[in-house]
Amino acid sequence: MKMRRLTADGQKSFATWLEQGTGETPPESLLDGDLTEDGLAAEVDESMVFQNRFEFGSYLTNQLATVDFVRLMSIAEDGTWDWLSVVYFSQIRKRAKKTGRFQSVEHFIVTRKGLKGSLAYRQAARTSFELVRFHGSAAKVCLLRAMNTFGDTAEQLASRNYLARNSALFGAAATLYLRGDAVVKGASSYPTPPKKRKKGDRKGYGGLRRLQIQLGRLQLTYDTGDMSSQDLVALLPREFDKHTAAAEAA
Amino acid sequence: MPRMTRRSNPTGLGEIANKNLQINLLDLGHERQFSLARLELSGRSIPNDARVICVARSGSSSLRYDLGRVDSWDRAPRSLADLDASAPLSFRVLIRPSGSSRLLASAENVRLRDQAQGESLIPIEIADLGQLAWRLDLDGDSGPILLVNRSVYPSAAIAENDAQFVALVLPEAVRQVCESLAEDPDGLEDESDWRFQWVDWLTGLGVQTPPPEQEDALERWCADIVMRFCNRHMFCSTLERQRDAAGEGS
Repeated sequence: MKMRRLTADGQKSFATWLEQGTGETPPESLLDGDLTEDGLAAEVDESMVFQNRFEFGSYLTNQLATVDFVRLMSIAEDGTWDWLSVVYFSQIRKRAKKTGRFQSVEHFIVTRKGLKGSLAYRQAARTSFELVRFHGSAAKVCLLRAMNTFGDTAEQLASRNYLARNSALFGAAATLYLRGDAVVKGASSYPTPPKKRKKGDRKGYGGLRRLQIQLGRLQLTYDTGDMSSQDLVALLPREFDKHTAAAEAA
Repeated sequence: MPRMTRRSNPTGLGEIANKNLQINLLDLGHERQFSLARLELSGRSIPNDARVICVARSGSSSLRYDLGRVDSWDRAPRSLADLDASAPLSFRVLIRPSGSSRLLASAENVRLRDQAQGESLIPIEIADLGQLAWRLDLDGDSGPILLVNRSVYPSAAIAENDAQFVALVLPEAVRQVCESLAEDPDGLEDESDWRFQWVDWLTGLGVQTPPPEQEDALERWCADIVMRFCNRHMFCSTLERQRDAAGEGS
């Protein structure tokens, strides 16, 4: 079907419907009714079923290949991403076991003003598209997740756009933690806080969280916004050696 | 008494002082734009073809601009529309060789100040805060920023000169800063830490540092500072005079 865009009233109506959580499928008026408007010159197949968010992002990247990236990320197109949430709602939604509620609104509707800043990065369709368009297969680090799961890795890498848009970081993460179509175990585990760490405890070392810390340190000395992933990997300290060795062996 | 500095510079990276550069901000209402108007690098051995990179940051969002060669960088205004408008704005200015990502010099945490606003330990910035009137941002490396809702105060100077705003908001902002000082008392002795700048201010109020460690004593320490601060500036007397003057005028 031709792509549409939720209107401002459509966005409000969708948010209300999500918060009420009484139905399983959003009202028809949010799909192609008067709460929508004509959208971009592109089409999507609403019957598509995606195995994970990487497939989802790849599909959207193909369908939107001719549309300017800056425009797609702009406020003007927030309604497009919201509408895509409606189209693929049955795949994205998940009800909490305890409360029976859907995920919070920002996972479906682009939310730019949260208490701690923008939450736009949590919108399922937008972030899946953005990461694949920017990083190609390296986006698998974040997106090899079930359609209804945002995931801790995505939260870590997509929440700050200087990380989300850093090609060297994603390239390095793919090199270190991706083996085929699987992320190595423990890649995103939290290091034990220094005060609680016992001698010899290396939990989380060489992992994604520590990679972000290293990037923060390196950017004081390097222009990490424009360096290759190979250069970044070469600058990493020894704690990453086990992953670089495994990557070379694979 | 001289204080020991913990800063070192093993990489030989040149530090560009804020006084040696000027970034202009243009607020068009619907969009903010910036331009790098001045950059003085005299006395440094930087090749003419080195690149000038400007990174604008706000909250979790950032934008990177390659402004061209250091001898002829692009001074045209650049859009900041994609940056989070609800958080403080800061810049990094990086100088790198044309063929390498290793930095030659940098200016970190460059903040723009309203020209009409005085120097302050808690600089005020206007921001889009929805229905929130103000918020103290303590997340940055350069110290606290008092964010004020753009729809209430169109400029920082107007907020700073509003007796009601100052009397009702600043004491609470100071209390939050005191709590932050107490969280990392080592920062009070570290020249490179923003907390270091507060030592003289605390001393001027007759307050002892470091802050106490016990929770009860710490609360009293913070409350005592706020009270001394309010007494010094006689906020309530000012409000009283303002109220009386308004009564006479009506």
